[in-house]
Amino acid sequence: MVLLAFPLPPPETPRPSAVAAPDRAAEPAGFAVGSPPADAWLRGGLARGALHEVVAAAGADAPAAAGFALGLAARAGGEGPILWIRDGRAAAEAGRVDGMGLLEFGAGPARVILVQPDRSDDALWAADAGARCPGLGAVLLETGGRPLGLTATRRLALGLRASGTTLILLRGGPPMPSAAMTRWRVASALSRALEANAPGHQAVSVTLVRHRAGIAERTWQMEWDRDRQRFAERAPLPGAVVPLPADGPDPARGMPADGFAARRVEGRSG
Amino acid sequence: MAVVRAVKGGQRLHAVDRAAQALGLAPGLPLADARARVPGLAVVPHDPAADEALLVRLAEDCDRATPMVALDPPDGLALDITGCAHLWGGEARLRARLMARIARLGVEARASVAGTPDAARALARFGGPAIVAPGEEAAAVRPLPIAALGPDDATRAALIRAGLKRVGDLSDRPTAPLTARFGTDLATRLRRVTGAEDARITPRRAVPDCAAEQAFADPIGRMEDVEASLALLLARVGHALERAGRGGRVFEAAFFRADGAVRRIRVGTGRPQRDPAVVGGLFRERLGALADPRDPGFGFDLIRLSVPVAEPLVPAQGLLDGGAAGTEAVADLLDRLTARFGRDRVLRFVPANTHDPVRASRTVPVLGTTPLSWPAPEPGEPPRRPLTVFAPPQPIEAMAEVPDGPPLRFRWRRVLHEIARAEGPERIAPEWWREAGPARDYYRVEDREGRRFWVFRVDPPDEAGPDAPRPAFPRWFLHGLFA
Repeated sequence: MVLLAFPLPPPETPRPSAVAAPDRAAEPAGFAVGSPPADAWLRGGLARGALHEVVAAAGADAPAAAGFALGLAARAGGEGPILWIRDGRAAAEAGRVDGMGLLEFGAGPARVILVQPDRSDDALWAADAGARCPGLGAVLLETGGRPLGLTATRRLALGLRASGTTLILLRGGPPMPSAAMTRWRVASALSRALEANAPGHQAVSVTLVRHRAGIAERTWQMEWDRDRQRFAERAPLPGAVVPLPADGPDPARGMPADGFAARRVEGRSG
Repeated sequence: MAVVRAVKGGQRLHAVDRAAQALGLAPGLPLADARARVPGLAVVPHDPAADEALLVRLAEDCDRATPMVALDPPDGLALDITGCAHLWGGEARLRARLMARIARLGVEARASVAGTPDAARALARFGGPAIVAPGEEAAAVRPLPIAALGPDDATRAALIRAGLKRVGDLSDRPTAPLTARFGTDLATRLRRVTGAEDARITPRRAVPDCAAEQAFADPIGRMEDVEASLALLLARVGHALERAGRGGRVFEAAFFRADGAVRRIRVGTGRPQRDPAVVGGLFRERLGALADPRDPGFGFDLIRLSVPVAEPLVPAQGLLDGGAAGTEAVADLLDRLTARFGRDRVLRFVPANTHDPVRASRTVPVLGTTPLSWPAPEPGEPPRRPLTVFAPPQPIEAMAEVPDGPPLRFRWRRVLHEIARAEGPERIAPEWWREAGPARDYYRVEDREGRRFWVFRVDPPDEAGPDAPRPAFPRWFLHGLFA
């Protein structure tokens, strides 16, 4: 495979303000996650035209991480198509993506294009081609195989910067050096039960592990709001202990009061 | 040597070689009789698949003479050389060159050229002049036996009983009594064989919209040469398409190897295309992804580029908005991905009209399909269907509090999940017109860590009485994972 034998690009740190490609000048340079406290912490949101990495906290949290990554891709992509690249390992691990599931998730199956190469090298090739395509909304690269190294992610980041497309890298496993703009660790979180103790809207516990602009680590409990295509802040569960990664910050301290979540809860019960 | 096959419970000779023929053996003879006559007979079982493969291979090789080649199973080929013969220096030289090629491959063949396919077929199979001048078919087929008409066995026996042994005996007579006795089929066959009526062959491949080819005096094998000549052909095809105001949706490169094998490589595009650089790029992706880069063997002596599917292509206008440029970039990207990974690996989702959750969504190749609109999910509700599903569903060990209730805990991939929330059951019955099977009771469950699963239970069938052998019912399966 000759793909990885490209010359090393000069190491550089793309800044959120500098990533807007010329042909996307009209669009905002970033996209908001949707949850006000998180967006405030991120100084307005995440950069477009950059690589964002989503890592599952544990093997069983892979579906939650996929949901968070897909939500980010949907938000970053606007109306543009989402190229979802899954290699053979990812498909074997989590099953095949279902169109009805995409619909119910709110990602719009009509705008998702699924690419299923067998090998992770081919998946990287497809991601590289997608990263250089200005017409795409977002690229979601899910690899279950060999993790991408620094060189591969740098190459992706350079392509993204030129095209203005956003790439969400979804992977499991241990931390690896990468040229990602941000890295997120995602764990499942207990949802707010509906009537008769039915599972509610999908909730995740996401931790911003690393940000190139030096924004500090922080954990939020979020809930995917399908109808408004955004991550909303999730209200604390009454009487429930929220499982958190051991090295995460204290949830009680990290949760500024916000009227939005409270309103949602009232609206739900009323 | 002889080839045998089992006919009606006995082994009979299916084909014999020249040596066996000289010893008096003929196809149709029981194997026991043949062995009695020739004790040292070498016998091979009949392999129709191999015969067909050889025939297809020969047909591929004959593609170089004319694009219209049809199989005439089990052991014949029909070539429509209308308008091709002059390129080869006449019908006689075309026939001689094809026969020489086939002989080099170690196959013995007979060939005839005639005005209609049926006449040529009868002459080639039953012996006749190699080339029949236009209008002479009726005279040429006169001495052939009745079997040359290809009638069924009963008709043939009846004709021979009536003393009609040759085609000429039939063609002298008025058709009406023949039709009255044997039906229109025989009369039609007779008209076709004598050249009074023409039926065109159905070629194996559709005749392409546009094609260009390059023959080499010395076979070429180096990758650079192949790519250079492909680029040349692409430029020629591109000019032809431009003059016609069309663009290709499918391009096919056929590499004719000197030893008769033919390799074909196809690339498809999402919109009509004729730019040699773009199509050449797609071919490079396709070739690069091949494990065996079209193995030149002794080299290719002919490369043909054809455009099986073309559509009108209006010259592009200057684009005013960036959006259309983005759409084109996406279309080009999908072409490249499809060229590299294949049509069935670059997919889009389309809804299917069914209640079966597994069939409600289908994936179809992106190329050649258009996106369909999906219904909107019900607002305010959590997802009812999982993001990913397992096919087939994975068995789990589950414990439920009550027989008809949701599971309390279950074990999947060796991990125990304690259920904290559950909703269900949602009963989904299989579509009886597709498959029989028990109904499934689906539950959406969430474990204490917040992982959400789609599980179902299969109850024992009602008719299973208490003394029936009890499989481990109810059985539980994990069907999908919610995000």
